Amino acid sequence: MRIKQKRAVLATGLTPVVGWQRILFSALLFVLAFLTGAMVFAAPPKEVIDAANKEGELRLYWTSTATDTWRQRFQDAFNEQFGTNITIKDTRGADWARDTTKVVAESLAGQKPVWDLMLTTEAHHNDLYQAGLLVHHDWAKLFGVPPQAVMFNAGAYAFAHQVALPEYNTDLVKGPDIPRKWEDILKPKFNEKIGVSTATHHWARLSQFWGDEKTTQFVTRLTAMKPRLGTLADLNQRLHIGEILLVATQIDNFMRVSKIRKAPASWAEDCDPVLLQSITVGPIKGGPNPNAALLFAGFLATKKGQDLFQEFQWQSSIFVKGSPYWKFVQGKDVVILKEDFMAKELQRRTDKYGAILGYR
Amino acid sequence: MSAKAAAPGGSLGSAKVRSALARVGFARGLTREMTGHGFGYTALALVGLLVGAPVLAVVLMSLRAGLPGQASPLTLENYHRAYADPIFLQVLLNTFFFAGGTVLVALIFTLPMVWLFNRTDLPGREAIFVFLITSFLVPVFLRAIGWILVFSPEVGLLNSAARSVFGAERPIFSIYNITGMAFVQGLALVPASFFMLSAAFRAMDPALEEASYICGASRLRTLLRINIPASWPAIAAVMVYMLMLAVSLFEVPAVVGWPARIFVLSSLIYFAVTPNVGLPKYGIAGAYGLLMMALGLILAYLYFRVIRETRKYAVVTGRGYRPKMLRLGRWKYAAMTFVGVYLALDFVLPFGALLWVSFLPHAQVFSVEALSKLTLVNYRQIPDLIGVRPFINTMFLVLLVPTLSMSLSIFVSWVVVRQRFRLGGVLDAFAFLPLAVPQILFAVALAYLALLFREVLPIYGSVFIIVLAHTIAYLAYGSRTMNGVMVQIHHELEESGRVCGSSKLRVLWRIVIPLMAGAVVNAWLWISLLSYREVTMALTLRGPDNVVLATLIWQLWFSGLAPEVGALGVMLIAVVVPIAWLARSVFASIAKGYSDGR
Repeated sequence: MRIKQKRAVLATGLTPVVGWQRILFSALLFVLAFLTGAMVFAAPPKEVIDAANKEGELRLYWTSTATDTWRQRFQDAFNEQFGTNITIKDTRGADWARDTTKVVAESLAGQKPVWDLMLTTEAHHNDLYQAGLLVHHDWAKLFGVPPQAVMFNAGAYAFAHQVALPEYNTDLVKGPDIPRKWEDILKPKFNEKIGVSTATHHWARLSQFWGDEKTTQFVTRLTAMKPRLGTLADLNQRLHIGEILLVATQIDNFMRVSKIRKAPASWAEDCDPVLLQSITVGPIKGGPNPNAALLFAGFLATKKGQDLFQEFQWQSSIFVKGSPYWKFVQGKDVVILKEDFMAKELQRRTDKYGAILGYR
Repeated sequence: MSAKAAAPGGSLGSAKVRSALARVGFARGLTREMTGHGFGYTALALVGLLVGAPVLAVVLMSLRAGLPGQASPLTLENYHRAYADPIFLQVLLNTFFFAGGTVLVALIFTLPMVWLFNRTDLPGREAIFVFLITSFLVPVFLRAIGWILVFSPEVGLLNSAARSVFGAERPIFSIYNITGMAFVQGLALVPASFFMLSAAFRAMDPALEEASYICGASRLRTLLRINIPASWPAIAAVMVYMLMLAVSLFEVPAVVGWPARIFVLSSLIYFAVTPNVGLPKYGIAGAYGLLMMALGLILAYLYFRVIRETRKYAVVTGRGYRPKMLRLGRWKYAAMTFVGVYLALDFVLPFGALLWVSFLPHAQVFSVEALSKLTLVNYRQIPDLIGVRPFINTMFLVLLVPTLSMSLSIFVSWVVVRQRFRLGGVLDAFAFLPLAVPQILFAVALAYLALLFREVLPIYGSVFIIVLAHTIAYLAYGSRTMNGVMVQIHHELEESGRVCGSSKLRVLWRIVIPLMAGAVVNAWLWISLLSYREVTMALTLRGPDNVVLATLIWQLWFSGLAPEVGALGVMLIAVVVPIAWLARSVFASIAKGYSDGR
C-alpha cells in the first residue's frame, strides 16, 4: 500500500523538495515498479477495481467540446491504467448549472442521478455538496491527490484549473494599449468597445483578493464604459470579427479555440492576479456505477490522466509541479475560491456585481 | 324520435304511460346531448391533463423557494423579487415594443407573400417554399453573425460602405436597438406565419374576389377589403401566436439586445434560470412566467371571440369551386422584387453567413484576405463531434411530434370550432397556454412530473419525454392553424354528411379533414421543423440517452465553435431541404387525391 501511494504522489509531481537519499529511493522504487508491472503501484484497492469492472459502464458528464475520439481515448487510457474493461457513456454539456440542478432535482424526487460523475467547476460541485450528493473518499490515500486539491469534506477534488483573464484583439490592440494590469481595461480607448460577459462570478472571485469595496468601484467604472454584454461565446465571436477590442474576462476554453483557429486573440497575461476556477470531480451519491466513478475520478489524478486532460482541454492543475498552469502562475498572485467564501459570499457578490453591470 | 310519436296505440293514453315515455324521451335527448358534449369533455380532460398539470407545477414553483420537489412553505417572495426590481417596468415597456414591432414586421412581409404565393401566378413558388424552409433551418445564433457582418455599427458592411462612399463619421445603420430587434425577429418569424396563413388564403372561394373585380376594385383594394377580412380568424391566430412567441423568444434579444443593454422579459427569465453560480431560480422565473400566462389568457380570450362567429368566415361551402390564380401581368416584376427583398434579408444573408463561417477557421468579416483562409476542416470534424445517436433521436422527434400534435390539434379545433361545446373557450385557452408558459419552466415542470410518476410512465431521460413536451408545446401552433382553416368550412358540408347518417367522427374524417388536407400537411411539416429546431426544452430534458441535434448545435455554439455549427447547419440543410420538399410533394399529392375523393 505504501508503494502504491508513493507512485501516485510521484505521478502528480507533488513530492516536496528533498535530499538525494530520497531521490535515490524514489528511483529505486521506479525501477522496482517498472520491473514488477506499473499497474500494481498505481492501482487503488483491488475490490474497487473488481467492482468497477463488474459495473462495466461509466456515465460521465463533461465538456461540450468533447468528441467521440476523445471519449474513446479517455476510455482506452482509463482501462489501460487499471486493467479494466469499462465503457464510458458520455454526455457533453454546456449548461453546467442547469444540469447540476437536474441531478439535485432527481435526488429530491428519489431518482438515481443520470450521471455517475460530472467534470464541472467547484461552484457546481458546491451545489452537489450542499444537496448532500458528494461522498467522502480518501483521495490522498487512494490516488495520491494533493491535500490542497481536496474539497467539500473530501467529496471531490480539483484535478485541473481554468484560467480567466482579460482578452484582446491582437490586430487592433497593440503595444502600449495592451492591458498590463486589471485597471488598464478601464482606459477610455475601450469605451463601448469592451465586452463584459454573463460570467459575473469572475468579479466575485476577484473580490476575494481585492475586497468588496475595490471590486465594486472597479465594476462601477466598467459599467460606465457602456460595455457590450453577452455570453462568453458571443463576445469571443465579436472580438474575432473586431466589433469589440477587448473582453474583460475570458476563460481558457475559448482562448484554446482562438489559438487553434489562429484567431486574432490573446490574453493580457501580465494582469495580476490570475483568476482560477477549479475543475472538480467526485462521484455523485447514488449514481448507478459508484466504483467506476471513483476509479475514473482517481484516474484523472494520475500522470496519464493529467497529460491526457492537458492535451484535451489545455487545462492542468496548478498543484501539479511542472504542469503548464503550474508554470504559468509562477511569480503571480492567483485567486482560488476558499470554501467559506464560496458558501457565504460568492452568490451574493456575483448577484451584486451582475446587477451593477445590468445583468439580473 | 319523440316520446309522443313513439306511443303505439290508444292503450297508452294513460298519464302514467305518458310520463314514462316522456322520461325515455328525456333520457334519449340527454344521451344525444352527452354524445355531443362527450367529445368536448374528452378533449378537455386530455388537454387539461397534458397542459394543466405542468402549468399547475409552474404556478406552484413560483410560490415556493428552492427547487421543484423541495419542501418549503408557500411564499410570495419570488413575485416581490421579480416585480420590485427597478428595471422591471423598463423591461415590460421594452417587451411591449419588441413584441408589437415583431408582429408588425412579420405581417408586413407575410400578408403580401401569402397572397402572392396562394392567389396569384407568381413565378417560382416551389423555390420560394424551399427558401422559406432553408432560412428557418439556419440557427438563430448564426443568423446573428450575418446581421452583425452587415449591420454592425463597427464592422458592418453597410456602415463600412457608407464610410467609404459618403465619408460618414458615425455609423448610419445599427441593429442594436428595439427597432433592430423587432426587425430581425419579425423577419425570422415570417416562414412560420406564412405556413399558418397559407391554407386560409388558398381555401378562399374565388367568387368573392371575382365579385370585387367586377365591381371595379383594384387588386390591392381586393386584397385589403376581401382577402384579409375573409381570412381574419387565421390572421388573428397568427398575430396572437406571433405576439406570444415574440414575448417568449430569447435568442434575438440576447444577440441583438444585450450588446446595447436592452432587456426584455425573456432575458430576465434566462438570467433567473441560467445563473453563473448557484442553482437556477425557478421561482422567480415562474413569477415572470405567470405574467406571460396572464397575457396569454387575455389573448386567448380575444381570439376566441373572433373564431366564435364562425359563420361569418365560412368561405368553403357545398357549392363546387376551383381556386383560380390571379394573373399579375405587369405587376409581376414588382411582386418578384418584393419577394426578392424578403429572401435577400431572410435567406441570402443568413444562409450566406452560414456558408461563409462554415468554411473559415474562425468568424471574420468579408475580405480578400479571408478568402485565402477557406478550409474544409470544419466539415471533416462533424462526424466525430456528433455521432449517430442524435440523428436517431431527432428522427423520432420529427416524425412523432407533428403526428401526435396535429392529431390532438385537429381534435381540439374540431371541438372548439365545430361542436357547440359550452366550455370551448376554456378548451381553446388550454390549447393556447403552452405558448404562454416559458418553455424552460414547462420543461422543468414536465421533468419533475415525469420523475414523480416514473413508475407509471417511464419516459424520464428518454427521447419520449421530449416528444411529449414538444407535442404539448406545439398544440398551440397546430390548433391556431386548424382553427383558422376550420372556421372557413361551412356547416352545410358537415350537415350533409350527418343527414346521410354518418357519425360525427366519420364526418370529421371523411369531410372536414380532406377539405383542409393542405393545411394539415403544411402544419405537420412545420411542426416537424419546429421540433427539429427546438432547443430549450430538449436541453432541460436531456440525459445521456436522448441527445438531439438541436441541443448539440446549441452546445457547439456556446463552446465557441461557430464554424462547426456553420458546417453542421449547411450539412443538415443539404439533407433536410430535399426531404422536406419531397415529403411536401408526396403529402400534397396524397392530400389532393384524398380531397378529390380517390
